[in-house]
Amino acid sequence: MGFLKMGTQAELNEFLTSVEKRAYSMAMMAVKNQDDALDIVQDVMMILAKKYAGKPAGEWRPLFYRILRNRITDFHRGTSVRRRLFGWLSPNSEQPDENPLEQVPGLEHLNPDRQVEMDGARDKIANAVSQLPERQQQAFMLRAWEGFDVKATARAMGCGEGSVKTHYSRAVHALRSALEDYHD
Amino acid sequence: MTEQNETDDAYAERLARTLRDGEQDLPPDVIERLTAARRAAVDAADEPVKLVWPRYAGAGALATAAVVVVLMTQPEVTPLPPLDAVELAAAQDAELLEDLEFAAWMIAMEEADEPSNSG
Repeated sequence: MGFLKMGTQAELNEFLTSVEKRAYSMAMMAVKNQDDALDIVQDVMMILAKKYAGKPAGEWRPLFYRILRNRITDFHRGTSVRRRLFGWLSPNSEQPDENPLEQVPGLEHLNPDRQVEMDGARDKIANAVSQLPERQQQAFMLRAWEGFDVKATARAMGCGEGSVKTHYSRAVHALRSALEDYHD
Repeated sequence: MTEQNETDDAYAERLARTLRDGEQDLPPDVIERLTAARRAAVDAADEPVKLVWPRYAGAGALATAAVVVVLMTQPEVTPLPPLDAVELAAAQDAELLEDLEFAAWMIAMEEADEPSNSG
């Protein structure tokens, strides 16, 4: 006998199906590594399922993105600590000559035909979004990409609505500057 | 419409639409791993949550009793004046901070659970 009702399990499966690709794409832009992004999304799904599956399905989406944001922040903190701890051991490990744009998600996702078809527009946008500061990136992803309103974005980001508006506005202006040649 | 007079929201929506289209182009191995992760999560949701509170129930009861005793022996305090707008805003921020701390705690708990669950 299962703990959850069959209906809830089916709902949870449907919900996770509806967010998994977007969550992965967002995580990929934030952490710039496929395995790390997949690990993060897997963790987020597991935490939501274990801790919040019993909550009303309508509450899952903001919770899911809130957990995702926390996991991405944890990832960045962990990376930063590792860099501080071990960076001095190998001063050349930062590889300053490396082009950060080459590590940005998007390019490796697209098969060559599709990539040509899209004329690189998506990659340019993905590159530009991944270059935004973390909070601006979150505000843009949640407001524009996921379609949250200001209030839901504030809840997911753990900040006030005014901060969301500021981060979002700065993000859009930064994207306009970075994507000057992006027209319809 | 030119880029200059396009509103921020319209411009952001145009960018987001392109990104949403891209979600359908994930490679098969990524889709496979996402599917496996989802199935594992749905299965995990079906497991009853382990209750850890009885371990700490005695200590919690003692602490609660101590607080009650302290409160009952305190001299009566005058009621605080009503909160003004700034204080209310600060209280809301504090609530958000509390939520964040809870989320952080929850994740830490989740990670701490991992070794015991796998064993």
